[in-house]
Amino acid sequence: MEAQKLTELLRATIDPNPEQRKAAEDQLAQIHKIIGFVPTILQIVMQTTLEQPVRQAGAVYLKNLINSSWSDHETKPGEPIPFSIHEQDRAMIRSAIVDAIVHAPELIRVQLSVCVNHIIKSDFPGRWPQVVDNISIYLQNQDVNGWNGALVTMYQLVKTYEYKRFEERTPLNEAMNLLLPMIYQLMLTLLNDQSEQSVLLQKQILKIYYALTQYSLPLDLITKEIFSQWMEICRQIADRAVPDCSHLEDDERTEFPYWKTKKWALHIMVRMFERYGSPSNVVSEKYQKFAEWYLPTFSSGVLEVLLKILDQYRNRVYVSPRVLTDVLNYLKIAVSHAYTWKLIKPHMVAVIQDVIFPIMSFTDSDQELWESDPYEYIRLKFDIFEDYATPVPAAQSLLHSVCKKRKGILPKAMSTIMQIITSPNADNKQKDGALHMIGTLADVLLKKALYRDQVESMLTTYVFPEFQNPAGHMRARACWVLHYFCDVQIKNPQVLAETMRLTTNALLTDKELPVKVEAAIGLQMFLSSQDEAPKYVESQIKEITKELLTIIRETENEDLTNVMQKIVCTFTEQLLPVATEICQHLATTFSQVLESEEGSDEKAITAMGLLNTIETLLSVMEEHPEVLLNLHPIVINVVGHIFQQNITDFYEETFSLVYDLTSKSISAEMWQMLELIYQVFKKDGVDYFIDIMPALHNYVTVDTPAFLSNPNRLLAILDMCKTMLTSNPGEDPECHAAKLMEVIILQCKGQIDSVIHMFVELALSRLTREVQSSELRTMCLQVVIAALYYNPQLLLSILDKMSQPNNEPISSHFIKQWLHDTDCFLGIHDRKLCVLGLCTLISLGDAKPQVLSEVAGKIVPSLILLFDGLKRAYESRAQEEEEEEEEEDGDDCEEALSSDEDEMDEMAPNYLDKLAEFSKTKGAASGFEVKAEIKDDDEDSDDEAEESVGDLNETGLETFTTPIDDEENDSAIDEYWTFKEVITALSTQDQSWYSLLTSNLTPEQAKALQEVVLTADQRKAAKESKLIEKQGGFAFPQTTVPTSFKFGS
Amino acid sequence: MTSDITRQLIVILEKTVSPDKNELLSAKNFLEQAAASNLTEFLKALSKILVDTTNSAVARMAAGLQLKNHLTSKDEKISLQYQERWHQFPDEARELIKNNILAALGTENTRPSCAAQCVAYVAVIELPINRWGILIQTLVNKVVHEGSSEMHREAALEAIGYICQDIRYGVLENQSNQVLTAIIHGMRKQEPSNHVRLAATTALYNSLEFTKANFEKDMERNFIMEVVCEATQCTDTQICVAALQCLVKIMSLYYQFMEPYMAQALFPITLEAMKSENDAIALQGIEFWSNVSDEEIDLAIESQEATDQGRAPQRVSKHYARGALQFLTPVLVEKLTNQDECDDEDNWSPAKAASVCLMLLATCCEDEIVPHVLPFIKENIESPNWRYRDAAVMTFGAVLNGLEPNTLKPLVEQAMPTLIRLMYDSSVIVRDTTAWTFGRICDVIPEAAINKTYLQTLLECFVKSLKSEPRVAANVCWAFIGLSDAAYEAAVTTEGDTPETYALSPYFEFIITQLLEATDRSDGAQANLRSAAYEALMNMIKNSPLDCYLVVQHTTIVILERLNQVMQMESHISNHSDRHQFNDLQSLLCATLQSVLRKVREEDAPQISDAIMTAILTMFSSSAGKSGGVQEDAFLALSTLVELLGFQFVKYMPAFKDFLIMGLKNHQEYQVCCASIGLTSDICRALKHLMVPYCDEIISVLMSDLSEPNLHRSVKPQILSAFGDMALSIGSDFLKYLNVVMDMLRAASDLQVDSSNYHMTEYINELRESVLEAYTGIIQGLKGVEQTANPDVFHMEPHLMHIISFIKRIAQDGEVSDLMVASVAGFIGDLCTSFGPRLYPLLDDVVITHFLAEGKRSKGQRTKMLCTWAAKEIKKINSQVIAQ
Repeated sequence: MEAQKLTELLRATIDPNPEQRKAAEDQLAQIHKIIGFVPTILQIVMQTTLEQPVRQAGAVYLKNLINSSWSDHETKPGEPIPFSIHEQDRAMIRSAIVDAIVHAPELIRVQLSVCVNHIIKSDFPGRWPQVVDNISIYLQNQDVNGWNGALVTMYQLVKTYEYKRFEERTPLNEAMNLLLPMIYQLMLTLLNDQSEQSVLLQKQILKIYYALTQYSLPLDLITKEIFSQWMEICRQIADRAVPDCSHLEDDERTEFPYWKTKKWALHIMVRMFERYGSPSNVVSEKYQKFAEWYLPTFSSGVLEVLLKILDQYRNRVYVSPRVLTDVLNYLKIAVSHAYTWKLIKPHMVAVIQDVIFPIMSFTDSDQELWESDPYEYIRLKFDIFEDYATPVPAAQSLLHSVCKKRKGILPKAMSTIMQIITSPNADNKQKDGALHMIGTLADVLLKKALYRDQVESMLTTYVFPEFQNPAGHMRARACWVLHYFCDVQIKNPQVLAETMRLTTNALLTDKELPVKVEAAIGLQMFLSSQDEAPKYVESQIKEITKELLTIIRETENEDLTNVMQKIVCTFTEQLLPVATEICQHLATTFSQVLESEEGSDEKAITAMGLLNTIETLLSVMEEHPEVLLNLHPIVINVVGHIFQQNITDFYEETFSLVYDLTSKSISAEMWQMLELIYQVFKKDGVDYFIDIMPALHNYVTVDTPAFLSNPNRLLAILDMCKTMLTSNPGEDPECHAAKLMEVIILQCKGQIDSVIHMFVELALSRLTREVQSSELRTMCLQVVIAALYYNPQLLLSILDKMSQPNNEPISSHFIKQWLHDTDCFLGIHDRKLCVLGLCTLISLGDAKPQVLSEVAGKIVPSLILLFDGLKRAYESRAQEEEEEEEEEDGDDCEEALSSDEDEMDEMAPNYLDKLAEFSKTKGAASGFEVKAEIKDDDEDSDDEAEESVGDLNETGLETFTTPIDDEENDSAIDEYWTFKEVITALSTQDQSWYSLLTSNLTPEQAKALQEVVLTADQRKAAKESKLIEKQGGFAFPQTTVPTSFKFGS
Repeated sequence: MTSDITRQLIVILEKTVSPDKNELLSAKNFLEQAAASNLTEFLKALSKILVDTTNSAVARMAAGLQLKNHLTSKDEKISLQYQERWHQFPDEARELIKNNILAALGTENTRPSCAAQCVAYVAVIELPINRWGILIQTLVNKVVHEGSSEMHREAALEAIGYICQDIRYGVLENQSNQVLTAIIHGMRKQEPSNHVRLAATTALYNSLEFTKANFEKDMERNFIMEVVCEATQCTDTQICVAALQCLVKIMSLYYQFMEPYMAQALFPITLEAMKSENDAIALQGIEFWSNVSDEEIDLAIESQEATDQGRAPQRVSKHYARGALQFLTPVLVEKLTNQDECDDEDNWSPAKAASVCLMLLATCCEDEIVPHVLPFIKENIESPNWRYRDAAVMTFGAVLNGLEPNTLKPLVEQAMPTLIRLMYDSSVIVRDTTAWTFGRICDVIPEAAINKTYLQTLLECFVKSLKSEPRVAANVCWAFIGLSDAAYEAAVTTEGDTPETYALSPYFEFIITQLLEATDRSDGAQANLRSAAYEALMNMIKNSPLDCYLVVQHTTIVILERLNQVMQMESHISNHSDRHQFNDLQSLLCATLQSVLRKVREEDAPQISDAIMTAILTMFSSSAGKSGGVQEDAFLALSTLVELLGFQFVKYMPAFKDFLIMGLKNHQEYQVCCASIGLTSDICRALKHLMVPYCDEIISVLMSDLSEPNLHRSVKPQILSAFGDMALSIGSDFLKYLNVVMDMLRAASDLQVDSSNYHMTEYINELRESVLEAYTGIIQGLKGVEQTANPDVFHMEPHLMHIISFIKRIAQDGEVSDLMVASVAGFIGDLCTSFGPRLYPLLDDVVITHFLAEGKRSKGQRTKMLCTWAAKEIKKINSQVIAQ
């Protein structure tokens, strides 16, 4: 490959002339498959004589090519083999790339490091064990420039394994046995050098160590000794002074290498403590011993440094926000352990006063943002991704944790806060901080009788007046605090009335947008928590709704869509007249959001929020057909738009809108929509089948006659199912497809004879390929069972036709598999269908397939197993329903820990094991053996209960109902009764078959059979009783006393 | 051969019906003496007189009665003694008596047959131990034998009836076929004698419980039902009533089998019966449907339970009541218009039965009943005829409890003005019923009663009515109870906190004054008015918010004054009834005193305690103080006072101690004993170490109480708990009682009972609970409140093994109440903090670990918390073990 020509081509790709660029790109596309192409690119990239932009263009091109074509692709039969880089070229790249990274300038190194990452993922250790040596050579060399490249490569190596499980890390650990001591030594060297370059290298090393340990700590690689060495490094770095950076702007300070390095050191410390160093709360059992060692070994050293950092902050010395965040996070973990708590307790009040409080106070930069860009202010305050950028959340969380968990801190914190609030000299910023703290502690305060009783007066005295504060941020803060106390039990109804008035007023009349947003959220919280709240805003609800719609449009804030949903649900009746208007407004805002800058995550979330709000509106208006009539066209428009534009981001929400649009009846427009859905599915909807399913279920069940009136509808859905069952989209979506087929068969009983064979073939052929989950296997069987129930003769003839001569008939195979798998049918529906199918099967008379006599002895035991499962399933369903009804009563018995107690997370996996372990060791010590294991109660200790917990509240697919699931209807099918009738009829009409079925039952099975029959009678009686009740009681046709009495004749 | 003695006995027996009092008395003495000197011979002689038809009817009857009275008694204990005595008689004597009485059966000319009673009571003694095997067949033969006379048939059936009534469950089941044959034979339409039919019907009624097997067979049941239905159509009222009674009972016993008979027979028969002019018949008809409703209410509950558990119910309702509603309600409301003009509490009339039946129908059919009764109510509530007005109000009041709140609330609100007007009705009966209805409204749908729109007018008419006839006033008092409950509940915002104010606050003082006046009415004894008014008063006080405290204070003074006044009245008491009323009044005053004291603030207590103690001590030393009821209420009032005063109560101890001991020794009236033990506990808690001087005596009395066999068993757990309280109060001073108390506790904790007996299981739980309380109290008391346990607690060490095994026994018991789990967990925690690591080997036990783990999942917050705490404490001592 000619380097010169390639260089020219690369240069042309950055030519200002688009035509030139296009031509160059086309040409590159033509030649990139030629052997030698890729190494040549790398050569060009590394040519120091070339101008930087060309080299860079080459690096980017190289990166893209490696990304797409480094690994061998799976080939599908019949399709052309996709291009991948020739092994010869790959070998050349591997041998050159580490050198390249070492010698490349920063901008190019970034691109190359992505390349090396990809190569390691694909080739390490198999094809490229040498990378370790490549790195080690540079590390051992004294050349500083080599260190950086080696560390960058090493970082990519470690990152590849960062989230791998312990068992998969062997290659990395082997490499680290060699490399880790080297970077440790290097680190020691570097620590003596405080130059910026050295500090950046230190940072790189810390990042490597973090990536190596943060997800899983390899205890055999990192022994206590090594761990201690690294902790000491981190401690030193955290402790050492940072050169003055007061000459820098705030944003630049954060990027100051000294602070960044410190941040990584703290990251490591927090992570180690959190995951491996917290006794009884470690991430995995195997770190328990380690944690018990960690706590006494490092706590005092680390805490000393951390407290020192906080001292700096107190003394107005700059501390970068991220470092501060980590310090606070570490302290928060330390609060839970008696050992560390003792160490920080003496400092806690000062920390609250001088660290947490200022952090939580309104700042100048807050003020600046508030004034310059209120939208951005709102975005920042509500952006969940932004958490790490400021130490505020960490401060909040530490304050909350320490006040909740540790005795005596809350009163001190409260007195600090009250001092600020009541001080005449406090300015708005300080008051804001105080109120911020109060709101943060709201749930803790509400749990203590002492404070709970004062909340009302506190709100009236200190919060209500702030609504008049000329400073907007204080009015916003007032709304915010109120909403954190929305769960308070309000004794004086006036207080609630005033709360609602102030908040509503703020929403409707305040000039500042952030205040309005806070007010809206406060409103929502009170509407949710206080039963009496709605009546205070009812009269203004239309204005409130309008205002909300306006600010939703202005801010495109997704929390506000939640507010809208709450309001729509609470004031359904009142909003009837304006529902259409609301819907239209939301739809317009939605398209506005779509049109505005694309790709931003928050926008997408807001758009989803809008769609959800529209969906809420649809579902609350379900009982008002006249309103729905107006809403549907608007929503259909939105849906159509999304489908036509193929905006896949919103498919999930859109399909649930389709579900709502079809839940009561299906309009002509919606039948048309089905065609569109089919197209969408064919185009890029395969991944969304699970989301489409509820809507499809509606199409099949809501208006079955209309569904069947046009054969294309059935064929379209069947084709979707076929696509799902033949294209390997994963077993869960396949289960859904099979379920849909089952639903169609049961729903259209007697009406789709001509296509049944397609269902059966599809299901059976899926079974011939590999099936991993028993769920999919039973689901496919279920399709066939449904067909059997649909028409047994039809099914048997279909199966006969499918059979190969000389082979075992398919029907026989199917029935055997079915009986073998009866224990895999879970939940109510599946078991019920299974019972009905078996009942159909045994009452076929002369049409019985031959195999039945072979398996006769297994049928009734299978049925008994199913009935036993059904009994438990019915019981657990009832229990769940009852539990749902039971109200949760929050109680205030939560107690703070005293100083010598650890907080123990009882859900932690090791708690019970630990108890068990203790009892065992103790048992051994006192000369007897304790055999009992202590099990978590969720596990049934009964050996027979093999089925998992999921068994009882099975199965998600049951929500897709079929006619056999109807239990209320007068003509509902009862599986117990069906069985009883079948078995009773057989006992008289076909005695030999009957005795074949029942003669070999064990006494327990015979007893179980009797119980099933008894249950059948009881269920029938219960149903009849319900029927009598529904008909207005027992019928008494005559009131005259007969002249004589003769009974029973 | 008639001996002289026999002849003399006959003469005496004939005198037992003499109109001459002296003769009567001497006859009685003679007979008692005869029985005492040689019972066997006496009974033999009586049997001979009974069987000898030549003797006068009076003598035979008296002999029969005397004989019977030595075989059975209404007092169960004595009856058992008689049975035991019968077995002691020589065989020869028993055989002779049995032969005589059996032979006498059917030879008497008097009704009812005394011989039949004698036969029955011997049978009740002998059949359960398989003696007198021929009896039943003999009796059956007497009934079914062709030639048997009317008297023979009747007497035999009477005997069968008595036997069925009194025999122990399970004895006659094997012979139910024979018994039924005789009974059904006697009940047939073909039976010419109404006496025989009546006896047979009565016998059937008594036999229904043990003829289950016959009812389960279609053929037999059909036949029984036929005969019973026929009997209901008999022209003889008594037979008709008896047959209807059978139907009522059959319906509740065999509901599930009744469907084939219901439509064609039972429904028309009972509907017809309800309409009957004859009250006895009408009552049975109504009773039948009350019973059906009752049954169907139960079935609805069973069905709901089954649904909640996800299974089918074992029995189901056929909703007869619902179906019959349209036919029943017109008859019932019609019956309501036939009320007695002068209300006699004890007279059970169709009108009263109808109102009860309506209530049950409403509960059973819920809202369904509204369209059937509402027209009648609307048409008649303003009727010029008071009977109709009253019936309409009664109907309204009766159906309230069945209706859904959403249906009920508008109905009640709509009716409010009319009802208030009716409180001023000219008819006292109407006012009475209206007041009762208000009581029910307050009870069933209180939010409608405290509705602001009517509250004031409602209270006005209530207060006025407190001055009207006692029966009306008493019903108003009842309404006040509901009203104050409702108003208070509506005002409570935080559980357990007294609200600042409530809806009745503006009227509170006035109501209290009026109620106090009502308690003082001279006709207060009528219609239970006085106690109703006191009850209302107590409830108003109990439910008073903070802003009514002044009135509470004032009421305390009033009650105290009254107590003093009443005691001065004692000298005027002349007769038994006065004495009774006097005692009742004192009890009521004590109870009221307790309710006001509950509300009195701690700081106000010392100002009134002297007066209270003086009054109560005076009362104890007067003769009224001897009444158990008064004592009990006084002790309870004192408990509240002690709670208020705390250790300040000590100054009354010297004067009061003897009365306390008197209470503790009151074995006869165990409630008094209980109250005094409770008070002892309270005083211990209040006085703490100041209690020490009194403990020797109290402990010794309590110990003797525990070993007293006749003391009611429910007292004993209380005593054990009291030990705990005392130990907790006096700490180390308890050591000298430790061993004797521990022995008692050990004995109590080892007690085992038959777990199938529900009452005993409950008792055992109570006992365990109190043993735990005692252990807890002792350990906490001994270890003291300091961080490090007082070494005195180590005196418990020898008992620890036993205590822990007791805990484990509880832990292994399947059915432990949440409360008990909490107590056990708390106790385990206490043990840990007292004994530290040395206890670990004992507590390190799978049973206990499991028990606590289970408890942590309890729904009760306290239980959850205590279990968590206990587990933590165990963990703590374990880590200390490791550290060692």
